[in-house]
Order: sequence, then structure tokens, then C-alpha cells
Amino acid sequence: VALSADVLVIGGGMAGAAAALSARQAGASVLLVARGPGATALSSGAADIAAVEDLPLREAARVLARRSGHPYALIDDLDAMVAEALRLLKTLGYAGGGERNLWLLSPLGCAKPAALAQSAIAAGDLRALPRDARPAVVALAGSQAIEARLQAAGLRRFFEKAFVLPLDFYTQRSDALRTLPEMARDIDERRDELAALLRRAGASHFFLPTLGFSPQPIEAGAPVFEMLSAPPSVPGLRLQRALDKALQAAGVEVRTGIAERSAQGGVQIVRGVACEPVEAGAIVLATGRFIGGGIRSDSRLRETVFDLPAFAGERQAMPALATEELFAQRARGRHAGLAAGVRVSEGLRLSDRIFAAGAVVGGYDQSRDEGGIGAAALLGIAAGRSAAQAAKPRARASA
Amino acid sequence: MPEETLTESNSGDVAILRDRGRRKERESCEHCAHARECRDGGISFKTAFAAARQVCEHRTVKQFDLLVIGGGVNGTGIARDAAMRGIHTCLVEKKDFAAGSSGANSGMIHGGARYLLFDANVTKLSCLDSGYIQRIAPHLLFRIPFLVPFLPRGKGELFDRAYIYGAECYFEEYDRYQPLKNGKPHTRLSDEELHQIEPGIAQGTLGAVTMDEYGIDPFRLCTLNARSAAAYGAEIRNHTAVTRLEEGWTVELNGNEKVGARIVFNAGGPWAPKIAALAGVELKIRPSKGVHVTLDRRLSNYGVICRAIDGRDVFVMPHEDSSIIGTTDDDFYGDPDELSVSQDEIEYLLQAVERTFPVVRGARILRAWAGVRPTLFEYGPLEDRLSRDHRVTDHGRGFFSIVGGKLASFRAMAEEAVDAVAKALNKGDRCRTHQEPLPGGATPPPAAEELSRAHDVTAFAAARISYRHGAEAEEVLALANENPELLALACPCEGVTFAELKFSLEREFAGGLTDLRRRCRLAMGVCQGARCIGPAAALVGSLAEAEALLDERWKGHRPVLSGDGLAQAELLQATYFGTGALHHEGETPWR
Repeated sequence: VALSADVLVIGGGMAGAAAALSARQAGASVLLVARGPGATALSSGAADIAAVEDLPLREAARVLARRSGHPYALIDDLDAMVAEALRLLKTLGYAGGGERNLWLLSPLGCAKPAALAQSAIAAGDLRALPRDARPAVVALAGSQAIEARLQAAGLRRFFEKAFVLPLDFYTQRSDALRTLPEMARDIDERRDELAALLRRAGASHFFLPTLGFSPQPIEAGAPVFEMLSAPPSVPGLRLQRALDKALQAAGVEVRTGIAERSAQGGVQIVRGVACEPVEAGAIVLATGRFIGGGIRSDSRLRETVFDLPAFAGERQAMPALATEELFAQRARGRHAGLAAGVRVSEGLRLSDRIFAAGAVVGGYDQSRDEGGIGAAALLGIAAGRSAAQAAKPRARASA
Repeated sequence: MPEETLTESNSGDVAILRDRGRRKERESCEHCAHARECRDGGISFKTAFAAARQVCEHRTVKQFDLLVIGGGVNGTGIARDAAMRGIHTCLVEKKDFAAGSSGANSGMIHGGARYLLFDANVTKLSCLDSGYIQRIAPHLLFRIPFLVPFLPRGKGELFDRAYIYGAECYFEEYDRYQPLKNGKPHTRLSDEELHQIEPGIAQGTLGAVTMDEYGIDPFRLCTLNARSAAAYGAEIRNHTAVTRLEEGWTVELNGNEKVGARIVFNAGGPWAPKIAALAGVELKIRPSKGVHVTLDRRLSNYGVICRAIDGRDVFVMPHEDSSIIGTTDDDFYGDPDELSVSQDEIEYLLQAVERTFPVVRGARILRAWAGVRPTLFEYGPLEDRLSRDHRVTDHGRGFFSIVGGKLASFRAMAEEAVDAVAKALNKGDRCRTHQEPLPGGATPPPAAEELSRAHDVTAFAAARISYRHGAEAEEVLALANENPELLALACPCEGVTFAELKFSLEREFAGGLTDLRRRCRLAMGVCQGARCIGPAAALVGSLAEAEALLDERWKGHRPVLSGDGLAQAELLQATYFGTGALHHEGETPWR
């Protein structure tokens, strides 16, 4: 028995979920197949759309759209889509989205620009804090306590009085081995205890590495913020959960499995030995880049579900000698090779019925302010909408 | 040390200055006179002298019997040997210990079975010295039994049988040297037995022969040599380049400091010709580049010898938590500071291993790395046929060089070198480097389970610390007694605790994160620094250090970017730039 839907979305990260939600909103029935958590579940808690120097958000997005290869160039009404992306992210627990980017404290103590962030992170927008603030970076235990020094040192560049605040939240020697997701669980259980310890300490603002999985506020007598997280990231897991919930609420059918091309040229979902063919009016490919597994480079660069050619810059294969063209000499350089992906035409179209969204689309580098989770949401909404439209003839025919 | 100011902690210098002999010198020095005037004018002598000290350096040039240039295994070995014999020694290294060829080899203390045919004396020396190295650093060596599988050569059964017979005779000859390094004699395995112990090997072999060898962490070997030298009174200066050599010998360091030495020993490896040129001496070597590839896991249980397309021996072997494939051997004409690896070289190695060990294609390549062998000069032979012998040369005027040789016989080479120095200086006791253990090697290392229980570290971390530090493991973890956060893992891949990083910073001349990488295997594991570079940078409090290590890792990752390696690169970039915003360092949101 074939599965059937107007729109099939392949990929359950930010881009796939946004595509599914927007196609659903446009009236299409949607089936989403996800292999498992990908880059979205590792994301930092920020949702970046575009950052170019300190330009206003919409202007920055337009600047990126003029850069060669950036998929924003293929979006019809970019300003409107930015607004749509902001709206969607706000329903997922993100805040911000004003005219300018937020500047958020990174785990290395640098300031990262992003359009939005999960609300407890967004509240810590460095620009919104008074210059004479006396913020504390809270040191709980182990590696985190050592990293707090770097974060406080970074914070001191903005607020002279920033300091590290060691807290007796953990008292056992073996607590030194706690990871951030473990600390998040502990904080969920001992939220009041943490609040009491913070109330006793004197600081104008508190920066914590995590505020737990639950989004309830902590009453500490002063504002409490969360910092951005490197993988394994609690905000990333939070986002993935919020997406799964939103998909369920919107009536999107979600399957776990691997989508692949069937012998008949259609798509089938494989899970273990089970194999289900899918009949769909249109398809959105949102399989991610290298982390998600949507793009692979062996002897040549290719997209993994439909075996479409992928590109890095102008190239279709990584050459035998590492070239400056694809990979800069230094880690901080620009690496076109890491912005590899499929090439799409107007409306994020790959073919008549196939659209692409998120990192599987080449031409932008999430690690260089060219759009991260925010870009995935934006491209997902656009692709979902196009797909719903392309699937319409089928919907009419079946009616 | 131009920026150094006089503080309480080095007030010992002031005491030295009060010394009578120096006072005379001071009186004749106008800067010191100026310092005295300042003192009389109410400014403290300490402050005044600190200002004048830099200029007065020429008055207080330190004098050594021996200055060793190069912090590789030869340089650190010579410094240790000389210091132990009571020769006043200074070791200078422009980068870090084992930062050149000594850290870019296969990391083996092996007997060199390959050299038996044309360099039997190299084999004998290597085996003999391997035994001594086992004695002085037992914790640092790990046994790697090797398999030499025989694939049909396609020239008929008779040829194959003759070939195997020949090989067995060869290894029987090698067996004569095995007792020198506590190695077991070779055994002959059938195809079935071979696949029982190493299922990944290609089907249809004619069986195999086994051979016993040892691996070592070459970075730690050099560091321990340097530490031991320091314990015997040698001055150890890494990150110090020799910028001029004046006969007599006055040695200019980093362009701004001078020391004197009666003898200068050039142990620069591939840089040796450059150093010799500074002394006005011509020294010829035949440098040859060797490339290795590191895989993300221990792919095989044993070392496996394979044949490359040109008939050379290439191996895949387990090394610590990874596997290493090596190596190429090509004449090198470039600058040893500017080594790079091409995909051709990597493909050559993978192809060689694939025939005997096909699963190699399924592994993720972590990185590729290259080193230059400072082989003895000879015109004519193919690279592979060059002698691996070493040579100590007295160029006269108190300038010596050492080139060639093997990691496995470093101690014997150092002994020979210091014998020559001792003779020239007419000073020094007998060599004791084969008897006295290196730091951590005196007693057996603590059992990992006990260490883990006693210090609340994971069993894995305990096992790695006890391997790297031997008997000193307790001392390393004791650093966390006051600060339990030091028990946390900075690098989960390689089981590196912050305590270990701190130990290396305080006791092992580590200047930054790239030095810590060599001493503690920081960022050398499967994620190549995605997890540890941030936390380690927090410990040393420097983002510049984080970037230096990111660049160093990227250099080895860049030539092998394909398959799953790209996902790792994407994650690493997302961690340090996408999330960490390292490229926004120093920017403030207000301007």
C-alpha cells in the first residue's frame, strides 16, 4: 500500500519542519520523513538570518541576496519572507527580531550577531544591557566552570565589572564530569535551589550556561540569561522538540526512516526491512548538508536522495589538491567547499515537482553569518509554499 | 626575556647581582651606573635595574659548555645525556620538542627488519637500543605485533613457495635480534589462522609471518628527555630560535639575547644544513618526505605490512586510539617549514593498504601529516634504498652535527654524540642514559582501575593518564585535590583532564595549546578539536591560542576533506565560528 500526500518533505530539521508547516498552512496534506536528528538538534539557540557588519536585518539579507550563489537571491519577496520566518520562530520559543540583530554571548566569550534567539538567550542581548552593568557568569562545575573564565573575560570587553561567580550548586568531587545536558536536567529538578543561591549572590545580571530543558523562569532577584551553546546543545534539543510538537499540532504525518529513490523512479521510505513507496504531488528536499547527510563528496559531489549533482563554488568535485578556491589556508578563512549543495532555480525549484530548502541548498555558509537556523526557516517556508502550489493540480485531479 | 621585569619571584637575580664579582662589572657599566643613580634618587634599585637590565645583557651573557640546537629526539637525547654527565648544557628549539621530524614519523621503536639486507648494523643498533628504551620508559612503549601476509604473486605456485621460504629465512635471521628488545620470535600462520586473528585481511592469502615490534608516543619521549635534562641542570629553551652563530661561540637567540658555549651541537634534523650554514659550515643531507594518514579508529588488531604499487612496504597499524598508515618516501627539495600533503600521496597509501586490508576504505581519515627524514647524503640510490645510518661529524672549532638515524636508536646516537663532546671538552662522566629511567618510568604505572577510583576520573581517562605519565600519574591528578574542576575532561576523545594540561603547562615547558597537543594528545582524537579547543583555551585564557590550534588541525584536515570528514569539518566550523563567533573576536556591538 503506497503512502500518499500532496507534499512529501524529506528531512525533519528546521528547514523540513518549516516547509511542512507552510505547505500545511497552504492547504496541502503533508508527509514528513526524517532519518533522525541532524544539525538543527545541535544548533546553538540563536536563529541567524543575515549579519553583515551591523546593518539592519532586512538590509543585511538584501546584501547577502546580491552575493553570488546565495539562495536569498531566488526568493521572491525577501522582506516578506524574513517577516514570515520571524513569525514562525517566535511560535517556537524564539524572541528578538527587531530591526537590528541581537548580539549574544558565545561559549568563547565573543559576541555573536543573530536575528532571534530562544527567549532566555535573547534577553541577554549585550546591546540591551546598561554599560555600567555588573554581570556574573555563573560557574557551576567542571569544564563549564573553567569555560566561565573565558566567557567572563569576553564579557569584560563590554562591561568592565563582569566577573565569574562560583556557585555551590554542585558539591561532589565527581560533579566535575557533568556535561551541559546533564546540568540542564539537574537544574530542572533543583530550580528553586538554584534561584536561592543566585539571590544570595550580588550581580546585576546572571549569565548561565543552561537554564534547564524546561523554559520556566528562574526568580533570582536579577535578570537571568542563558548563553549560546556548542554541541551537544540543550537549546538545539529544545528546538527539535518544539518542531516535533508543532508538526504534530499542525497535522503533519511524520515517519522515521530513510527516503530513497525507488526502482520505478518514485520515492520510497525504508526502515529496517520495511519499504513503503510514497505517492506525492510535490517533494521538498531538506536533508541538510554534510552533518545532515544531504550532500556527500566521494569521488564527486552529489546530493544523496536523488543523486543530483552538487556544487562547491563552481566545482562539481573536490579536486585532488586542496585548493584555496574551496578551502582557505587558515581555519577562519572562507571555505566555499563547506557551503556546497545543490543548485536551485527561482522559487527554490530543483525540477517540476522537487524543491529544496535549508543547508542542502548550496551557496551559503552557516558559520560565517550567511544564515543559520533563521535561513533554514525562511527557505523552508518558501519551498513549502511553492511545493503546495505545485501539488495543487494533483489535489484537484484526485477531487 | 626582554619583557621580564624583576619581581619577588625572581629576586634571586638581585642576589646574584650583589655578588662581588658582578659588582665590579656593574661599576664599569654605564647602564648600571644609571640604575645606581636612580636608586640614589629614591627609585628602588629593582625598578631601575629592570629598566637597565635589557641593555646590560652583554655583561651577563650566560656561559655553557654545550649548546644543543634542535628539540627533536636527537637534540633532547643529547641534552639529557650531556647534562647527566655533568656537562653544563643549554638546549634551544625554535618551535617545540618533536615539532619536526621526531613527531612526524610512525612512532615506532622498531628493530628495522627492513634494513637487515643492506644495513644490518642499523638493525642491530635499533634492536639493542629498543631494549634500553624499554628499560628507561616502560610506560611509554606498547607492543605492536605485525603481520606480514603473503598474497599470491601471480607467477605460479613454485615461485610463491620459494618466496615464502625466502621470507621465513629472512625473519629467522631477524629473530636473532629479537631478544635484544624482548621481542618474540616470528611465527608462521596459515590463511585460516591469519583470518582468525585479523578478519579484515583480504581473502585468499598464502598465510603470513608475524613479527614483534613496539610503538611509542614520540612527543612524550622528547618532552621527557628534555625534562630529565632540566632535572640534571640543563637549561631548556623551546620557542627559541638561533639567529646568529659567532665563532667562539656566541649564540644569538631570537635576535635579542646572547649566550656563550664552548661547543655547539647541531641536531636540527632537516634544518641541520641551515644551522650549519649559520656557522659557516657546509652540511649535506638527502632530505626525504614521508607522509602518514591517521584513521579515526583502531582499524586492525595488529600492524599489517602491505605492498605499495611500486613494491615498497607500507603498513597500517594501531597507534594509541587510532590507526596510522605510512609511509611515503620521496626526495624533498622544499623548505621543511612549508610541508604540505597532496591527495595523490594519500591515495598511494590507501591503495597500498587496500589490496591486503580492504576495509581501510570504510574508515574516516582524520588527517594527513608529513615529515622530512634527514637522511645521509648519497647520490644515486632510490629513496627507499638509502642507508638509515647516522653520522656524528666534528666540523672543527667546536661545532658538531648529527644527521640520519632512527627514532629507535636515538639513545645510542646521543651517547655517541656526547662521547665526542666529552672528549672535546675533556670533561664528563660515563653515559648513564641506558640505566636511569625517564620521568615516570622508575616504577610501574598505577593500575587504571585504582587511579580511577582514587581520583574520581573515568577509567578511560585513568588509563590514558597512566600511559602518558607512568608513575607520575598520581602526581598529575593530585593537582585536582584543591580544584576539583581540574578533574573534568578537556578532551573526551583522548581522556585528557584539565589537571594533565595544567601539569604540562607548569612542568613540561608547554607554552600554549599546540604544545599541549603534543604532550597530552589534546585535539588529536576523533573530533580533531571540536570538543576540546574551547575549554583548553579557557584554561590558558587565550583565544589566540585557540586559533593557533584550530589552524594547526585544519592544516592536516584540509588535504583529506571528503566523505564523513566533511561533516566533522562542518561541525567544527559551526562550533568555533557559527556558535563561538571567533571571527567576531574583539568586535563590540556598540560601534
